[in-house]
Amino acid sequence: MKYIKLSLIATLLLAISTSCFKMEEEDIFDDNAVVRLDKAIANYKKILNDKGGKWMLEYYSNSGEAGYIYLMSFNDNGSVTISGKNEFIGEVLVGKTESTFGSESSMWDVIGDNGPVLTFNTYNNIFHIFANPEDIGQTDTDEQGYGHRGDYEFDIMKYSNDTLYLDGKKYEIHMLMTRVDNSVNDEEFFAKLDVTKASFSPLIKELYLTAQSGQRYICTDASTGLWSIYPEGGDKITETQTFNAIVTPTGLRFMRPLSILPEYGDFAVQDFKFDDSGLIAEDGQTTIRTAPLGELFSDIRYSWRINTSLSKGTFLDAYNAVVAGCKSYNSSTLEEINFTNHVVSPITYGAVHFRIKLKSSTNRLNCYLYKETKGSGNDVDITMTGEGDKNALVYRDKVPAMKQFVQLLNDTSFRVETDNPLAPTTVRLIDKNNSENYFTLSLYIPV
Amino acid sequence: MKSFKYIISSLLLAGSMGFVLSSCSEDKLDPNSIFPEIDERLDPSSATYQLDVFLRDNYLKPYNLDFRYKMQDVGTNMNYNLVPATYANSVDLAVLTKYLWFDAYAEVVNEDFLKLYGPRIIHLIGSPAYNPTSGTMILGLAEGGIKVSLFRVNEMNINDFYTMNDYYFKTMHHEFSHILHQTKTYPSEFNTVSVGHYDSNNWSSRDEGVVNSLGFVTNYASSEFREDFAESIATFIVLTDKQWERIYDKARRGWESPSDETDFDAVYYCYYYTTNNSGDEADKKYAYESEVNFVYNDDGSIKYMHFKNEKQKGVAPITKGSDGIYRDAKGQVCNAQGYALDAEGNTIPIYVYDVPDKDGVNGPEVIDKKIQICRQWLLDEWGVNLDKLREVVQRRQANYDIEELRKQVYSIN
Repeated sequence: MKYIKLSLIATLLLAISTSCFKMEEEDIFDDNAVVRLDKAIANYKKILNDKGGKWMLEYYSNSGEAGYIYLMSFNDNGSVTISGKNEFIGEVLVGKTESTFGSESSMWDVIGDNGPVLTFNTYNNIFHIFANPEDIGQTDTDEQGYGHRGDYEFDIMKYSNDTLYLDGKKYEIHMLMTRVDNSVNDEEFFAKLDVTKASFSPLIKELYLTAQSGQRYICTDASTGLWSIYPEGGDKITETQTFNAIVTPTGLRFMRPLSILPEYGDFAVQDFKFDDSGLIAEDGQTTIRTAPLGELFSDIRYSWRINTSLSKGTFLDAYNAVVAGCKSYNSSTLEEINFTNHVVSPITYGAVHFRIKLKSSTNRLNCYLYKETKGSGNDVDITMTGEGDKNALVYRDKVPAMKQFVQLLNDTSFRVETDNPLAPTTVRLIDKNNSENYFTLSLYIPV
Repeated sequence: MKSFKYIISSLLLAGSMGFVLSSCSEDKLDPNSIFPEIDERLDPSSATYQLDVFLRDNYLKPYNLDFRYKMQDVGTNMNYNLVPATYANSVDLAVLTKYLWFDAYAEVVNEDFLKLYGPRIIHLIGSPAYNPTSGTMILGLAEGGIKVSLFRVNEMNINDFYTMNDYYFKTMHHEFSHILHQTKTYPSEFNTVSVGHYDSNNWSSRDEGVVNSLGFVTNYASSEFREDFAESIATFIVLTDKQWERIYDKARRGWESPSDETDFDAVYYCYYYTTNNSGDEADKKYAYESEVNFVYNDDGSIKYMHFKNEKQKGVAPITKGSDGIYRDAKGQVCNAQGYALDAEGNTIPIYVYDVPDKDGVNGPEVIDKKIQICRQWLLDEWGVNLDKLREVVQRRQANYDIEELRKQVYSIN
């Protein structure tokens, strides 16, 4: 018992003494925290002002809205000129919900908080609109008190390779700010960005994301900046996830890594660059593409209109012959030839649609000669069924050039090409045997 | 043996404690501060140099007051979504605050008054602080007698006197009243004047006429007695004579609403009439003041009120008697158009009446009583003559030239 007591006392004393034991440790940092923070602030101010001080911020207000690009020109006198182009700026500057360029100067600073914080500390009409707690106005809900819930202060996490990694201070969204050449003209920059944004069209209903595993995902609403993505073959209702994105001058960046339903194969990518066929992720394997052009052209959800001014060769000759034939037959005017779908309930026919203006009427005559279109890869074959609606059959008999036109389609194997791989709203239908013969067609929505 | 063990144990314990204590000895303090020295000189190349100089010379040096126009969210309630103030509006509010608040007190009391009792921080916020749950917004805050926050700075319209008064000038005096009563408490008698009539939950949906009639100067004043106190002082100071008389006019009236009491959007009226002068309670309708015409006696008193553009109609059928006179079903003489006529052959207006004041409160008397308590407290505790302060503020509000005031900032080189 005595030994137990003694042991306990000895253990207790040892514990007490070692708990206060003074350890001589090497300092981990050269300076104390205050001095280091002060140095960090000075360093980040210098970085922001360096090389002309112009930066591009990929800004997200929240996960339910598209992101927007801002250009910021920092000045060492404490002012910053912020430029942007979006519909919310339009509301402020011109009172209309239309994408509008705007540029305004206000103040900035790097302050010490939990760490260095980049703050835009006087109001800027171009930038603070996403932090303003007013009702957004374009929505059915009342956002007063919240607004878009965007940040205007950013924790600076690190700087690397001309990129500042920022975290929104209040809502903690990760954002990137990359250095831009000081000679860039802000308005021209956003005009070019508009062209890049046109890489995504609301007319193209679906894009396809193919992961490293080969699993395909169907992407819709890409042009809105708020992508809906679900696995091909999966359930569109229950398995769709939304991801917001920003179109940058070089590609597309999602606010958070795409990590879609692990049961379909785990992967996580966030940055995509444009390539010849669409977008490719930073892993070099994950891609975003449209359907192969032949399949896209054959898809009955799309209708195409021939643009004669951009068509060439025997195809254009055949088209012009139909124009002349109509004129000769009854002085009518061929206005359009479309590749469309003709609904004769309950059947939807693929059809070559001739839209003709009669001499004596302001009405248009619609003539549909039925066809089947089969696409494989970028190739297309058109087979005329020989059938059509009543009007078309009359014209086909009376205007031989019309018959020759559809026969030419019937006899030709086509290849489809486009200049805009993600938004092929304009394509060329090219004779596989003679690339000098082609139609240029544009997507349109039949009325 | 037992004592020997005790001595050994004690020695061991003492030795160990000595070791423990010596191991916890402190290092000498470094005489150099870890905080770098701050250079308080303003940089002439700074984009905000002019305003910074103005604030240093007009607030920091004389009043030891930090006028913060660059948003510091750590200085706000982070539960709110707020944005910074614009630089231009910050300039305007900086010069106006000086002119209408600090200089007014300096004129009425002395320059030391605000040095002693004024806030140490004024923080400008661009947006209101919305409370989406209650549907209210905060326009100003006074915190601990130290700091005043002024909100909604970005919506300032310098040409809209009434809004400027309501959102900014009144807020300044309101928040300063809080600072003063947080420093020296006001008479508890004030809290008893309207006891039972406060509504801290639903004040924002209370009708201004109704609360005036209950003896409050604004509906916010009816939220609780501390706000009542601050609102009474601030409203008295900034409202013009005409606006103040309007409060009294509404305070002496009765107010009713055709809506249920639980309807937060209920509209209250102080005039009523009955359809076609029927006098029946079932036919009771209410009228806005703009719908009422006033007919006066020679001595200026109101003879009667009537509904605009409406006259009493005869009760159908209107028939023409053998005497050539039209009469309605009740024998009332009418004209050919069916309108009832009085003994002189004139059409009869639809008479309008005051809604009886049934709240049991003499509104003007209660407001007077509160203002008198405020007046006496300011004089006794602070040496501030409220009436003189009002006079000075009114003069300054009515006559300020914003362009001239701005020059104090924009002419700084």
